[in-house]
Amino acid sequence: MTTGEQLQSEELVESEDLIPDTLSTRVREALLALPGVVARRARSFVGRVGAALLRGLRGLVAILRDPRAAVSRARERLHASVRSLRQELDTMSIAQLVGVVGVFGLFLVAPLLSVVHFSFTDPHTGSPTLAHFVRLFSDTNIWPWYYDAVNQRWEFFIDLRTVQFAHGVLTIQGWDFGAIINSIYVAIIVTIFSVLLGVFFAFVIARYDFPGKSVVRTVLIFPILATPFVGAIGVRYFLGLNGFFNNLFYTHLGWWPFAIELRGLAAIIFIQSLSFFSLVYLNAYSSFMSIDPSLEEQAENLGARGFKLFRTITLPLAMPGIQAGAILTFILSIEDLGTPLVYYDDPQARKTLAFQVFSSIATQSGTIDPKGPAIGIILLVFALIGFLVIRKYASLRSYEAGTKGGQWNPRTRPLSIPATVLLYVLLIPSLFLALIPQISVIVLSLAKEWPTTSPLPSVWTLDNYQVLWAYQDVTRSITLTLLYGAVATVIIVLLGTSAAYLIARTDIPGKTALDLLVTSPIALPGIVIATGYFTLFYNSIFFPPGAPAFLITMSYTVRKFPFTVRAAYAGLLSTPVVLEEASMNLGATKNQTFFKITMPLIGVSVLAGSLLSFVYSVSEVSTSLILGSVGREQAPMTFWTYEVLRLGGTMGGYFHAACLGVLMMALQMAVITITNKILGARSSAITGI
Amino acid sequence: MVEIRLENLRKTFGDVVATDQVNIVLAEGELSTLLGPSGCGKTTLLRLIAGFYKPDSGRIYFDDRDVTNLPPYRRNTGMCFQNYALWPHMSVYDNIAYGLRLKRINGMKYTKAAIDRRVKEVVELVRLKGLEDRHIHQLSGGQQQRVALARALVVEPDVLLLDEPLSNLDAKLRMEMREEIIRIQKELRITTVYVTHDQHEALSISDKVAVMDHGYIQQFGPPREIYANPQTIFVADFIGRCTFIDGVIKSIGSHIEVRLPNGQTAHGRATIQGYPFEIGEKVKCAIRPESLHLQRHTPEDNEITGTVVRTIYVGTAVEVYFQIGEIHAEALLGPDTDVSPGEEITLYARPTEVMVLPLGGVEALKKVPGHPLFRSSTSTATAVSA
Repeated sequence: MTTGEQLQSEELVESEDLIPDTLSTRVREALLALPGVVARRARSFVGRVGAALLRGLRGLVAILRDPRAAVSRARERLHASVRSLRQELDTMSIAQLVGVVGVFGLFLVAPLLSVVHFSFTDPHTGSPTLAHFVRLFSDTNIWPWYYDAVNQRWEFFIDLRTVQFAHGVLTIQGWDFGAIINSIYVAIIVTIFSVLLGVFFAFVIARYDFPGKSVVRTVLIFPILATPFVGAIGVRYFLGLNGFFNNLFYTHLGWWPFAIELRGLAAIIFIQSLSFFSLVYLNAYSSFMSIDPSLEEQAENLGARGFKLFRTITLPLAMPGIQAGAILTFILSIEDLGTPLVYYDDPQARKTLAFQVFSSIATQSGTIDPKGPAIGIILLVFALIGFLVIRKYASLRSYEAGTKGGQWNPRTRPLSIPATVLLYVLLIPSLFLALIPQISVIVLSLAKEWPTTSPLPSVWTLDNYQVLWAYQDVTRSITLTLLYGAVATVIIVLLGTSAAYLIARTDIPGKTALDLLVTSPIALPGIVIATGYFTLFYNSIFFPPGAPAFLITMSYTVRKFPFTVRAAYAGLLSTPVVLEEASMNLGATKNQTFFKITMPLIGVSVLAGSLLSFVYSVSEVSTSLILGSVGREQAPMTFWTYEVLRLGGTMGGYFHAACLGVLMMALQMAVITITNKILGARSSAITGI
Repeated sequence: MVEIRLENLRKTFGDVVATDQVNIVLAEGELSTLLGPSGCGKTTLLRLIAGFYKPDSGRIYFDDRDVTNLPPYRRNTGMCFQNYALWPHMSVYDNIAYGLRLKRINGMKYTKAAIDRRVKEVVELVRLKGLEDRHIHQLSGGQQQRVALARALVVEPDVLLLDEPLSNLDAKLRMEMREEIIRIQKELRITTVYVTHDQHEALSISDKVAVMDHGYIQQFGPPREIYANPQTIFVADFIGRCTFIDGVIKSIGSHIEVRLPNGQTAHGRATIQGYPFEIGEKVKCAIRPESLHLQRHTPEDNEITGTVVRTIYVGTAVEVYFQIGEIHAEALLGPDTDVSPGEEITLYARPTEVMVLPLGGVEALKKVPGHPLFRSSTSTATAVSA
């Protein structure tokens, strides 16, 4: 009997080969496998760290054993990189490299180093100290545990009350552990919500066809439009005690037995989740779409389906994108200043890291409480770790699946009618929820009178928009913002294209470092960069007291640089090098080739990227607010939105601030529509990380 | 092992007819090839068998089981994709074991030991021993191909489906893997459907070949039959090489007499059994290059005269390209042949070597009563009655 017959005949499946497969055995197996999985993960992690340590140790031993050889080796390596630099670079590339490194060195690295320096230095003696951190951790606003010297015991300020009920109002707030832990747990919960929502939407959109899908897809881009800052203005009013929901469901319809109010950290979690889930959605969506369909078909062919298929194949393959989105969400949540600012009168909202930095720096005088930079260090550590993890882990595991041959139709399938109905039952409330920030801001901007018992304004008006031209400070700030954004965008395009070209087309040493440097601002907290501008530049020519205009522009340049670099880089990757080689073969110099061949080919991508850079500059919150606070005359639009919100009077309050929010949203909407048209499917690769 | 029966399959994508009127039986244990130029519908047909597409009409049977509406994960087919579709997040072992881990037999599943043993067996079968712990990106193209094959085979599928499995390999590796696939297929005697656009590959590995064009199966049979008796002009042209000469039927006897445009009469034979040729019908005479000779063998031999355009010496033979009026013709002559461009040349072809084919391609085949490709189609009935 041949092997073939043995393999083929089912009767020969020996009975001891089979074990029953029931729910209980499955659960038992999963539980039994758990320690193994954990151990494997841990072992591989320990192994990797150990290997790295061992390598370092071995290198150190080698240097100690024969220092002279080590020195000569180092010198040789230096020579080699100088040689290859000389080979790769002509005058043009050198100018490009110097420009990029110069701007980033001066306006990103130096300020961050200055923050580090500042937070470890005694302001009076100038000697190194940990006093700022000691002070930080003895401040109960920041860290809840402290030592009570009088009673000689440890005390703490922790507020674990979340849901409270009084006078027919159900108040929901977050736990309070002090700013550090507050910010971390808020960010974790926001990330979890964002991932759940984002992956759910991304999977449904990427894998199923249902009527109205294109509408849903368009609507899902909106949440990126409003920064949490703008959204929070609307949500706070809508969710307030006398807002839309309470008036509709409690006062009018009577569906709720009591009024519900979200406060403090709970409100922040709610608002941030609604804004940031779209980041995860975009990343996850593009990951799902870039999975080679045959990878899933093969699994189906072997018997996988439904959730099993999703868990074993689809999800692991999309993981790099989802992780990138999740980490980005975590970082953005921790550094988000806009939402706590809108809730500035709520004591809990002030106990967040971002707000603490803001309040320690943003003073008219320009003096800095060292507490700010010290918190900045904490933020920076989170951001850097997160960013490196994204770049290292996600890009290592970004599966460039074999795209050779085969068909590549997106694997979508129609839904049955009951499934479609079920989907819509789920989709409509979640979409409505996701759009609350946008809807509420628009409604607010049109409200003239809003009685405390009415779900919607009783009198509508367009008069609020007068604030845009009748309030002199606001009008000026709009002009200035557009100017700052335009100047920043010009610099970004020049340097961004250069950086992308150097990274994609040359083989200079330190290329990876350059790539890391120019894309890092997407994850670096703006408030820390702004803090650095204070500690490094205050009272210098870059930053005369009361005149932050130049640094605002530079902060936009640095912070919004990644969008253009990534767009240009994507454009270069999709343009075959042979097109440039053909040009040089016909006698064009490198520069001629760059301007005549490369630029026209990647021009569209660069345009799209720069539009994004521009629009995100305009809506930049953290650096605008911090830098703007010392020079109100030169402060940008976001700063004045905050001012209008806080101020009373004829041109103050929610309704007028909402008009500014609508203006920002309209700008963003226009730009994102244009870039989507220009870039098509590639756009998500740029808006995501 | 199962027999695959395709009945009247039709699949359209929007307005495009991908495949239509497919009526073939792929015998159990045989290796059948779907051969045709790109866009002919061969991959569509394979994916219909795998269950990734649902046909617009028609049925698919595995033995007597109607699987037309079964989802892919219930069909027990093993498919190898053109790009291998190996999961990059799993090792070689995990890729291969995947199907076994999912497999349920009467609500029972394989034990770890059983899975291990089976994976080991199949790894040996495809000669991948020692590479089980590798990651996919650490494998060469040929090794990836073997993993894909092992993964499809280990679940003991009823049917093995191969979608252009060798198209991403270099020439030498392609030969090697081709032999490997034949060896494994013969060893396991598993019903196999093999998609390719390479006629050489198809002829050399198949028990049966289905030649496809424009969504239709043009001919289905053993390689020899396909080459010797092409049923349509497309098949004659696509498989091997042919010189085509237009003509009109003059008489039908032991040979078919065809009047050629230059007034000469050619004697040939019909390749389609039972095709009702009519006097005066326009046809094409197809002659293979190796059917043309320098000597006359029988008195009825056809005589062809032309002007030599170019000769190519290929060692074992001489390819002679010549011109008969407007027609480009090609002959494969002995290695000693000595003719030069510009020279007049006279060649002879036996009547059995001149193939007379009707115009109209597949449509013409419908005129054959009970033609196997159109057995159950309604259009046959109308064609016959007409």
